[in-house]
Parts: sequence; structure tokens; C-alpha cells
Amino acid sequence: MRAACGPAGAPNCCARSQLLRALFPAHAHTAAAALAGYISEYRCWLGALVRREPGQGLAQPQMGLQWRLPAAGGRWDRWARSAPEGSEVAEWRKTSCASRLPTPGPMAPAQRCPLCRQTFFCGRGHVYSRKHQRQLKAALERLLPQVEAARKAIRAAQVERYVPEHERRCWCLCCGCDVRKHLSHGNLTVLHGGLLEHLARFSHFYWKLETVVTVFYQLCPEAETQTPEHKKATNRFWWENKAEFQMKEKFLISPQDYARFKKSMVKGLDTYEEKEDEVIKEMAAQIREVEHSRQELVRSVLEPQAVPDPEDGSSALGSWKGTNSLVASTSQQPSSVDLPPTPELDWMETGQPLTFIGHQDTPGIGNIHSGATPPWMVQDEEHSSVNQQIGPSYEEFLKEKEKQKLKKLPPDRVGANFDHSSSTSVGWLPSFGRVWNNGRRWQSRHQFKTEAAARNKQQSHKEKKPSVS
Amino acid sequence: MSFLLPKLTSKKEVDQAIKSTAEKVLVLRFGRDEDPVCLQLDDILSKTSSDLSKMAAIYLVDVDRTPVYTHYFDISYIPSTVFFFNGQHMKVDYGSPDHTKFVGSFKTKQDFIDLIEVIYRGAMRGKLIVQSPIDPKNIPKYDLLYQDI
Repeated sequence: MRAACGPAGAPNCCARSQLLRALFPAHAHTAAAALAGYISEYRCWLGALVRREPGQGLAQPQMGLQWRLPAAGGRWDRWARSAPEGSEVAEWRKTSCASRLPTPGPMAPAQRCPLCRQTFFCGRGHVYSRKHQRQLKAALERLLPQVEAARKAIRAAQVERYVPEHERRCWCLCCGCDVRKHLSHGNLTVLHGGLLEHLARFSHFYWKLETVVTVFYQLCPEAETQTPEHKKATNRFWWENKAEFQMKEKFLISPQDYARFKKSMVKGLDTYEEKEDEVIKEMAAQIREVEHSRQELVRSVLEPQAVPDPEDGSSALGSWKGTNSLVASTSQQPSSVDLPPTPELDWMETGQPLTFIGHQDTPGIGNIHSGATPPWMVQDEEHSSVNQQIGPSYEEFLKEKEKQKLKKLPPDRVGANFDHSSSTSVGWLPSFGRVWNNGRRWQSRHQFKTEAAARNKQQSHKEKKPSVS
Repeated sequence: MSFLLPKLTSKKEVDQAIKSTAEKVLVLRFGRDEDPVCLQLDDILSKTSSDLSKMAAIYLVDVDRTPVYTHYFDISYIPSTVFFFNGQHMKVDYGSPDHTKFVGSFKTKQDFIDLIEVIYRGAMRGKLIVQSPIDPKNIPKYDLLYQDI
């Protein structure tokens, strides 16, 4: 029975379900819904599997189904994961196919943001963050005034004398390099020249292809083929950091502007040279004036000596004052006015009789006026005769070597501190521990001395005694 | 054999020898050159002096010419040998009542060498008295005299 019934079971079962569906449409509906739910769940799972291991032999899921799937670790998935416990979304995530989604894989590759000086793992998303935008704005605002100053210098290039302060450098954000702010050559500096040159610089590659480009230029002069290195870097920077588009133009300098700057620089150089010439002329005039006044002074001082005055000093003083009123008036006037004029110049003639010890003029040896060696620099004869060697000698070296050797010996050896070179009197005795003496060794020396003194006394006594008796 | 070793004939010379000998054992042999036992000891000293040149400086002192030292060191028998190190007197316990000096002659050269080595090592360790390494059999025995008693 069973064997016969087995093969016929399947059509029976199918017929039965048809029957059931006809009889109870509601029940059939639930069954279909369950089936459909099962299928969709299965497909979801399949899709997740395919996502996790693409190309592993599994067939790609149908497109129509895949769009419903939240990507693992994607935006929706993250949102669902971050939902608070007990909320609808969390429930949905727990019960639905989303719970079967694989956990997000390893984090996005680390990217270092040079502006924020931090490493981020959220990929490109960081660029849009408020923090990054704030940093970017601050950095650009730091650079902007310098660029603005340089832009102002296009019209009127300033040339100045070089001072070390002109070595200043500024950091170009876009190219990420240090740029000299000013352009200096020799003792001249063109202010903001370095920065301008950088902002308008053509690429190295472009210079290499100069000939080709000139030909191209001749063919189509309107074509904007000049893509300076800085411009490229700026474009890239703006793209990478999502900076304000309007700001970009402020950090670029067109080649035309640069050419204009060059022209103004030539003009500035000319004006600088003119100014320098004027300064030199002024200085020369001043020097000449000073020289003239000095010569006048010298002449006025020499004149009264050349013409010996028979009268007393007053007239000499007067003439001197007259010729040299320009310089000497301030210093001489009070004395000539307040004091009687006579004692000023004739004190030599009428002074006390002084003893003349003769002219101290030894030929061969100069004096203080002829630039001789001062006496304190001259070596004494006694010392100079002894040929003193400067620097270490061999004997000293040997002594030092001995000292080094002594350092290696134990520091607490017998007589380590004994002074071998000390000079001693005739009565010196070494430290000696005698047989019959107790106490310290130096005590035996004292005892010996007292004994010796006593013995001497005795001997002298004995010698005296016979003479007495 | 005494002519092979330096001699000290006055107190000043002995002073100088004691003061100037640095980091070496100073051996002062008090005696007379023509004394038979002194000759015996001098022979041992002179033959070992070159071997011990880095450890010891050996001098012969005439007893008659340095009465102060003879008296100070209380030398009643000759030869007597006194040891110093860096100007400090080194005592040696020979097993005899007198630790201050070695009285008489050594039996062999090795005895003397051993003694010097022990004194040197002891002095380097800061010892002012050392134990004699010499076999007590080989140490001559003399009575100790105390102030003519």
C-alpha cells in the first residue's frame, strides 16, 4: 500500500493544496504570503553573500532585488545600527534581513590631513567636516594678506637695500613648499618679488617644451596653454580640500600680471638707483663741508704759531679767537670773559723754576710717541735669560704618568698620603713601633726623644760628677 | 757581597732613603760589613735585589755610623733588618717576641722573597703588621733584651 501510495503522493498533495485554496481563500493567502516572505528573505541573504564574496561562483542576484538591500557598513546600515535600543528601526534591524548583513569590514584606509595635522579613517568625508573647513579657512586667511601685499606690489615694485630681514620665507599652502618672500640679488631686494615669481611660475616641464609651445602659440595665440605649476597645485588643493571657489582667484597671478610686475620692477630699480645717487651726493657734500671746516680750524691754530707775537697772550688769544670763532667760541668764551686774559698762555715763561733732567730720547728705543713696546710688555732680563719652555715638557709628562700610575694603587695602602718630598730637620725620625712601647707609633718617637734627652742629662751629670769629686 | 748593594753611612742618608722610597718596601739592613752573619745575609739580599727591584729597595746601614737609628730601632744584635713602606714602619709577626725587626740571617733566598712579597701585599692593603710566611724553624731565636736587664 505504501509503495503504491508513495509515487502518487505528490500529485495528491498538489491537488490537495489546490483544493484548499479553493475552499479557504484566506488561508491560501497567508500561505502565499509566507512563501513570498521566505523567498525574499532567502534572496536578501543571497545578496548579502554575494556582496561579501563577489566572484565566488555564486550567481549575481537580480538587479531588482538588490536595490532594496542596505549596503553593509553603508549609510543606511550605519543609521540603523546607531538607532537607540527599543526603537522601531532597531526592531526592524533585529528582525529583518538587515540583521544578517555582514558587519562592516576594516575601516577606510588612514588618510592624513596636513591641514588638521591628524589622521582620519573616514575617507573623503573628512574634507567636508566643519573642523577641516575651519582649519582651511584659517590657513588661507594666513596666506591671503601676504598674497594681497604681493598683488599690490605688481603695480609699484619696491626696491630696497638688502637687509637680513629680507631672507624671510613664507609657506605656499597649495604647493606645500617654502617660498622666498622677497627677491634679493647682491645688496638689492625687490619686495614681494619671490612670492610673485612663485605664484606665476610656469612648470618645469613647460620650460623644457619651450620650443614646442612657442610654435603652438604662434599657431593659436588665444589658447590658454599656460598652466603654471602653482596654478595646477592650486587647482588640486582646491579640489582636494573643497575650498571656496571664489577664493581661488585671489591666490593666482596671471602671466600678464607677472609681466607687468617685471616692468614695474625695472622702473623701481631705476628710481632706487636715482635715490642712491642723490644720497651719495648728499653725503659727499657733507664730507666736503666737514673737511673744509677742519682745514679752516687747522689753519687758524697754526697761524699764531707761525707769526710769533711780541705782545702778551691776550692779543694772541684774541687773534686765535677771531680766526676760530666758529669752533672754539663755545669753549673759550667764558674763560676769556670771566678771567683776566693774561694767565692763559704765558704760564710757561713766568712759571716756577723747574729742574730740567734732559731729553729722554734714546736712539734705537722709541718712546710712547714713536710706538715702542711698552715697558710692561718687555721681558725682564733675568727671566728672559732663563729659556723657559712654553707648554708641557717631557719631564712633566713623566711626572703626570707617575701620578696616573699612583692613582691605580689602592687608596688605603700604608703611607698613601706620605709626603716624600717634604724637607725635614736633622732630628727627624721615621715613625717606628718599638718593642717595649705601647700606644701609637708616633708616640714611640716622642718617648725616644724624651729618653734621649734624659740620657743626655744623665751623661752630662756623670761627666760632671768626676770633675766635682 | 755587601759591595753590590747601596750603603747608607749617615743619619741623613737613612732619612733620605726612608722618605724618598715610594710604593716600595724599604729594606734596611743594620750591621757591619765584615761580620760573618752579615756577609751571609748580604749575599741573600744582593742576589735577590734585582728580582725584587719592583717591590723592594734594599740598603745596607752601618750600625756604628748611625748611632741615633741604632738606638731608636733598639738594635742589639747584628744583622737586624727593618722594613718600611712609604715612610711607615712595617711590623712583621715572626713568632718571636720582637715584631719590629728581623734579627739574624734568612736561611734561603726564597724566605726573604716571600717575606718581602707578604709585606708588600699587606702594605697595599693598609696593614701595618703582617704575618711572617717563613717557617718558624728557619727563624733564628734570640733573647730579647730589655734595658740591660
